Amino acid sequence: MPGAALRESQSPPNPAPLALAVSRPIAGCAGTSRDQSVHRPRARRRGSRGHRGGGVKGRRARQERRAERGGRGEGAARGRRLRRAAAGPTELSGAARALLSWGSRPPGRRVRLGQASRGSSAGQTQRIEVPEPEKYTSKMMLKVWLVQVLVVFLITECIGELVDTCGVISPESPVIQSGSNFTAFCVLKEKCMSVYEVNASHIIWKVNRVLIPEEQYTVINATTSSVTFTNTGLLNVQLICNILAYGQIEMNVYGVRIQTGFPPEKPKNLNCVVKEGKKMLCQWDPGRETHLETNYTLKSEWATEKFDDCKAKPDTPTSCLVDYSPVYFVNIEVWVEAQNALGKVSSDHINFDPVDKVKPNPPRNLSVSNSEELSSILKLTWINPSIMNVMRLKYDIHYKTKDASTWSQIPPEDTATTRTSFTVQDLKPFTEYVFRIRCMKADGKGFWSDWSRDASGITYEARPSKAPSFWYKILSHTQDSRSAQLIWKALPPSEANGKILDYEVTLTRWKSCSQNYTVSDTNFTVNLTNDRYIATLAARNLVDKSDTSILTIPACDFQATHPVTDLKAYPKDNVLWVEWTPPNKAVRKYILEWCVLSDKSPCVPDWQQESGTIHRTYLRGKLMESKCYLITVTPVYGDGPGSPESTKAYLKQAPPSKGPTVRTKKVGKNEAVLEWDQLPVDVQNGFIRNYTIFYRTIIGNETAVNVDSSHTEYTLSSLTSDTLYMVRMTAYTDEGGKDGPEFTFTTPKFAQGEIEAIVVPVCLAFLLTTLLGVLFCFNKRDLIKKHIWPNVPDPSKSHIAQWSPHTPPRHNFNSKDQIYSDGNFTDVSVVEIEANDKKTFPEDLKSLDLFKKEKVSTEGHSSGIGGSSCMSSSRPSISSGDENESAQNTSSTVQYSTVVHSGYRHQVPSVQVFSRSESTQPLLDSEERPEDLQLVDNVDSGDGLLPQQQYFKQNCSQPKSSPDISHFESSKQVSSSNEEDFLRLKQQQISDPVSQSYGAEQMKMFQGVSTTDAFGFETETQAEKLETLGMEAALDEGMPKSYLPQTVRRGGYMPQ
Amino acid sequence: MQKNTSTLLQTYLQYQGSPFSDPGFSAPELQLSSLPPAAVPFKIWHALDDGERLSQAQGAFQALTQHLQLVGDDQSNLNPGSPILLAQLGVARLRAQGLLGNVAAIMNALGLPVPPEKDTIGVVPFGASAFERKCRGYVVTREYGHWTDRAVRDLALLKAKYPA
Repeated sequence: MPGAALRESQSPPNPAPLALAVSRPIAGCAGTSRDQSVHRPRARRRGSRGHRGGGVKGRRARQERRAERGGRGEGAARGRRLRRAAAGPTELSGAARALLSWGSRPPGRRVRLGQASRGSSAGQTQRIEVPEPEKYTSKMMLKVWLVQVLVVFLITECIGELVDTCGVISPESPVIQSGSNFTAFCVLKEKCMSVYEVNASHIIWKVNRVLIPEEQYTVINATTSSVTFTNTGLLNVQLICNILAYGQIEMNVYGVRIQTGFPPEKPKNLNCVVKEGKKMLCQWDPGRETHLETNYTLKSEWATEKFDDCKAKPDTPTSCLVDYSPVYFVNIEVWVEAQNALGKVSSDHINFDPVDKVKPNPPRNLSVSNSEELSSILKLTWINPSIMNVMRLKYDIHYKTKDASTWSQIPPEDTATTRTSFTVQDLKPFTEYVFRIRCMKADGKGFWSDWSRDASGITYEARPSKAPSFWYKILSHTQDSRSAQLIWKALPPSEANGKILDYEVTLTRWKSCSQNYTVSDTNFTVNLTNDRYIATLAARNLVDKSDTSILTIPACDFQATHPVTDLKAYPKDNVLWVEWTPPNKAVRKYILEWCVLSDKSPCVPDWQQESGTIHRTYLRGKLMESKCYLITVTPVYGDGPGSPESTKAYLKQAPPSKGPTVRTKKVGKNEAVLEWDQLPVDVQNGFIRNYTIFYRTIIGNETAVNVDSSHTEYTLSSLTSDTLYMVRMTAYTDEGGKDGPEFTFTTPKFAQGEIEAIVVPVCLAFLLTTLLGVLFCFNKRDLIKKHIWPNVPDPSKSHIAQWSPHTPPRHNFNSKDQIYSDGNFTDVSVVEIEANDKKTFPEDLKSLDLFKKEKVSTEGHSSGIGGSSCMSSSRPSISSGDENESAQNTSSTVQYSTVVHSGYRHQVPSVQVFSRSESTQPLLDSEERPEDLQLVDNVDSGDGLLPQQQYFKQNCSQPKSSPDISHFESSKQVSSSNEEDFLRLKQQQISDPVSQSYGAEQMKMFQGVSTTDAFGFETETQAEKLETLGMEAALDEGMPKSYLPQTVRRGGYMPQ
Repeated sequence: MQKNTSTLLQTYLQYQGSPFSDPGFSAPELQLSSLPPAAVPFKIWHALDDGERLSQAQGAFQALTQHLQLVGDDQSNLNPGSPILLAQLGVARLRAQGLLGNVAAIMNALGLPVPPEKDTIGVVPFGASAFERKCRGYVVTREYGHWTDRAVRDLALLKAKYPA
């Protein structure tokens, strides 16, 4: 439609100039929008749509406008009307269309403002005749209107005043090489110049709507202005030539699009590839980016014929696929031409035979088969690509084990000829291999094919290449048998060379036949005697069995020797290495055992076997960090294992997981003894290298002490007394330390023993004082006694004295011993009087009677001495009673003392008492007595009685010491006392000449109850008697006789 | 190329319908006046010198390329729905042309004059019947094979004479 409109407008009868006149108001409009936006008038356009609505109205407006157009530069009101009139659908100028397309026109296309007007023969303006709307269907009209309205508004609004093209820019569509200088000229037209009162100096240039600085302008003459860009960068811009109409209203004159770029570089690296079955593809390197539209053409020709050009597609400017199938063995020449606006260049020509550029298809149907005869080979077969009909091939075969990541290549010289199969050798048995293959022309020209699909195959099994590791453990051991577990390691796949079916174990007892076992497990428990055994082990797979491992289980009494020395274990490269110095004896192999040392779980050893030639290895098990491993190395000799050697190691140490708990063992005033336990191995996490003890008072600074790890005790010295101390301990491994809990203790005010040191001397001093006092008192007891305990006259004494009127006894006493004489005398006299129990012991009495009679007769004057001494003294008295030696005749005197006797009992002491009482009678003798005694002693010495007498005397004189010989307890003593008794009795019977010879028997009879010689039997009775005597004595004690106790004592042992 | 010639012949015959497509079809008596026959008594062939042999081959392949072009045109009319045959004919023509180029290169290398290209077909073939055209195509493809065989022998001889 616009086209039609335009055509019609070519022949308008009414050439009223459309160049409408930039009336002032319009100029104002333009002035307000110096940047003459295309989209600016939208609002008004919309607003004026209403005017379009009525055809009649529009027509009228058109007519109006037509009339008005006649004059330009008329009043503002008219201009306004004019704008409104433009709402009519009919007017369409080329300029408007050009303007419309300005915004979206493709690069490089020039735009000419006011084209329409230029085209008009009438001059700068053109009248566009509008066809009568009636000529069109209303539908058409609407369409036309819709399209044209937009256009018209553009014209009538802000750009309306630029309908006339006032000049041109040359060059019109510049493409410039980046970096070069560029000059554009804007040539104004005379008419325009006069209309707008402008010349070249009013030209302003804009690039992308940005004003170009005036320094770049050059006014060449009145009509021409130029602008120069130096060293243009990469541009793709609009360059617009504007004029300032009337000196201030900016108007577009002409616009061009400038493009910059580079001429194409010579394409390099042209190369072609002929994929088998496809057409030839050539590629090249186009060089730098041109920023311009560049065409690449691949040209190819034979010596005799040219082929069609191959134009590279714009999206792949670096390659082209020719459209004819390649002809092998005919050389072809190929080159590529690149062309753009700035130039044309062609690459070097390459000349080749397409067969040398072939990339074959990969070999197909690759398959792998193994051989039962040879476990180290696999045979590959494949189908060659059909290109093999044209050319010879060579191959490239890659293979790898299934798990490997890198491929190995079969030497290319082995696969340099066309073939369909290949046998790969030197493979490992029973291993899955993966293969792939590719091929290319045998002479190396052309390209390798793609890889074929992978194919895999497993080599056949082979005999196990190694004997398994073999070791044993003694599980239990009794007197004559032991239970041993033979253990071995499954062979790794690389050594098993197949599936291990079972193991053959033989056990040979020393010098006897062997037993065979077949085991499928990797351990075997047998009962052995204490003899030496040799065990062998072989693993068996489908093909054969392995070499045998031989293990000597030594006899029970075997002494292991020759340990390894310098055993060390250390971590390196994340494995635990073990190193040792081999013993100086040929080692068959080494067994390494290791286990985690832990308090919680038992040591479950893992083990491995190493050959006898090495002395360093690493533990091949899975080890954990910060665990203590106990590693034992046992050398194995021909005759059995050597002594094991152990060491501990950590794969990686860590700080202890718990610190040591410190406590005080002893706290002193200025020092404290700290003690702690070694950390359990489970929390050590490493070797404890040292401890640090930190201690501080509650306010003081912390003091640290380093302690060697071997200690478990440390003495903190120079502490302050009576102070609270806080102490904690850190244990350090190589990797760090860990604090233990804090412990507090208080030093005491006083040191231990300090109090004792004070108290004990004080007590001792006190004791000493007391003792001294007592001693003093004892020494001065007489004096004291005198003072505190005056000697009160004893009434009984006086009685005795009255009773026995004679003084001699007193004399006697005095002469001998005061105490004795007094005591004995009184005592005896009392007993005599009061105790009369004759009837209870009649027999005794009888004998006693005899005895006493005799006694009394003899002891006429020996009354002064009590007890045995009295007895003994009785004899002297006897002897002294009358004549020497023979006292037999004394019976006459006895009769005299019968009175006293009757009053006494059977008891021996009573005899003395009797004698005492008797002694009262021979009053005359009393004075002579001391002398007599002496004499008697002398006389009796021949009988051996003298010592006894003396003894008795001593007893009497030292009553205190006598109890020391506890007579009652030891039988011997008893016997001795009996002896004494016997002696005494003897003595008593000395007076009786007849009875003397049979002293012992007499005494037996005499004593009645007591059998004289057989003491044992009668001792008890005697004792009883003695007790009775004691009782009696006790009774006597009740008496107010001062020396009764002595008597009792005397009586106590006398009977014995 | 040798193999391809027989394939081309088979394919060609296969597409021509009876009697050409019958198995064992052979018409050795058919000849085209414009196409020099490849069959030549051995003695004569052996007696030829290199230049003659090459120029004969050159001339024959020149004629063959034109004839193959003609057959291709014929077949695109007769058998428009058989791209395989047409492609093979095209390839054969291209190959013949390639061989022609190679022979020319050899002749150049040997310093022999290369005979200029000439129109060997002339006005004869136009207006031929379909059967005639088929027969013509048969002869062309057959001769193409024969000439290829002969060229191979020629070149092998040459190769033996001029090692490397």
